[in-house]
Amino acid sequence: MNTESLMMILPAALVGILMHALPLLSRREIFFGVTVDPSFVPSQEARRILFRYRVPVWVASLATLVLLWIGISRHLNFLVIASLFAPVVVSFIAWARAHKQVLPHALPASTVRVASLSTREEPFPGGVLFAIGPVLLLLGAACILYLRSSRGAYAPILVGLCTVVVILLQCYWMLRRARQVRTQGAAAANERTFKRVTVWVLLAAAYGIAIVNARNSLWPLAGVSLEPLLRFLPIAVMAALVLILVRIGQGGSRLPGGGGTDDQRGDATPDACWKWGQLYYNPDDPALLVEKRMGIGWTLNFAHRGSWLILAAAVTLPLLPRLLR
Amino acid sequence: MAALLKIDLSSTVPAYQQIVDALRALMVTGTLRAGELLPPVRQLGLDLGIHFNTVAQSYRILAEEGWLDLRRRRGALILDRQTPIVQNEAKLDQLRLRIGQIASQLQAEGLSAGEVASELRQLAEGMDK
Repeated sequence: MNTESLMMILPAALVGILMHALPLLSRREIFFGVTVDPSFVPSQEARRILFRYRVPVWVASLATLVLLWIGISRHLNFLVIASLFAPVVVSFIAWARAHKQVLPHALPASTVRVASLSTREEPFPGGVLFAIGPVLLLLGAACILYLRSSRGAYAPILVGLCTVVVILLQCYWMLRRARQVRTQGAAAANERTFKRVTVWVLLAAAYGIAIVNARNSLWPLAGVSLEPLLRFLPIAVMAALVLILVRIGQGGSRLPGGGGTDDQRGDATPDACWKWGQLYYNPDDPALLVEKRMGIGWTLNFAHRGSWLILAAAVTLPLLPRLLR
Repeated sequence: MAALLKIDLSSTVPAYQQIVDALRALMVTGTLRAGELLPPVRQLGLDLGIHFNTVAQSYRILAEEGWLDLRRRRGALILDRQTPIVQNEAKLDQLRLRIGQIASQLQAEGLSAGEVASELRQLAEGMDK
């Protein structure tokens, strides 16, 4: 097996592991996107539902690895691409089915809302200067390019800049504009830790993107090869990310004392607004980002106008190099 | 430990009124003190899952009562309200009527007149602390 095949197969295996662990990364009172009594999760019925979700995920992951190996060895690109999407698609379908099976066990929706009256002034981890580091790096690369050559390619720098700015906005939103679900005790502290760790991960990704894009613009000038580093860095980052997320859990719920401590159950969003336990649509909720119920992190409230702007930007961004050509 | 604000969206009392009542109670009992900052409208609206305008309306009412100094984007500063603002007799009559109604309601639920008086005394003593 050569390095190229390994670079394809390792992430696919990591995705399989993540999809296997996904249902247990949610908050303790949320099971397949449904708010349940925490005592339901270890029950036999819940374990049966979990098993029925995992079987297709395992089969799809194994099939992916086999198809990838065939596709790479026989240079069948369509097979490689199709096999990479398979476990994700299968997991989404299996999740939606499990969600339907858990719904009869849902707790009645709580109408009580609790909020802390302290102001949140979460600073950027590492300070603002560290946070804008990727932007400065790319601007520096643009300056070098401008001073040393007129043949340089600015497209990677521009794409990098747009991506990094989007990531930084996301970090700001998570720190300052994301809902604090737990209001007191260890659970609230864990939730803040979760936000900070997520922001660190995103900042690391922003630095990675800035380095790769600056290098893509400058390498014809410098002739410096970063190939070995760039090949394995994304996989190493992805593996570390999976490990961190599994350790912390959604909203810090897997950290000690991460359970609920106040009247709020689950993640303070109504079950009825979650389509298939995956997509959130609630016109009465002012939040743009809410905690994911499938996986870890935040997802968009599709009833918020801002979410459609973000989606439009996400679609446009990959097309930017073609538009700039 | 930070003070908490709790509202019930299924209550017949409008959300803005619940916020006003809860905040006023916290300020009267001294849980929230003069000089402290209340969270910005957006933060509180987000955490409670209600529209920002609802929170803004509550803050405005409390500002009109002399409890808050509203600061753009920075939240609301709790004012020292030792001296009551000019008393509005009509409003006081309205509040007396409400206390009367609540007392009747408590009696209708089975509490004796003495028990109702004791409840009110306890509340008043809590405010003195």
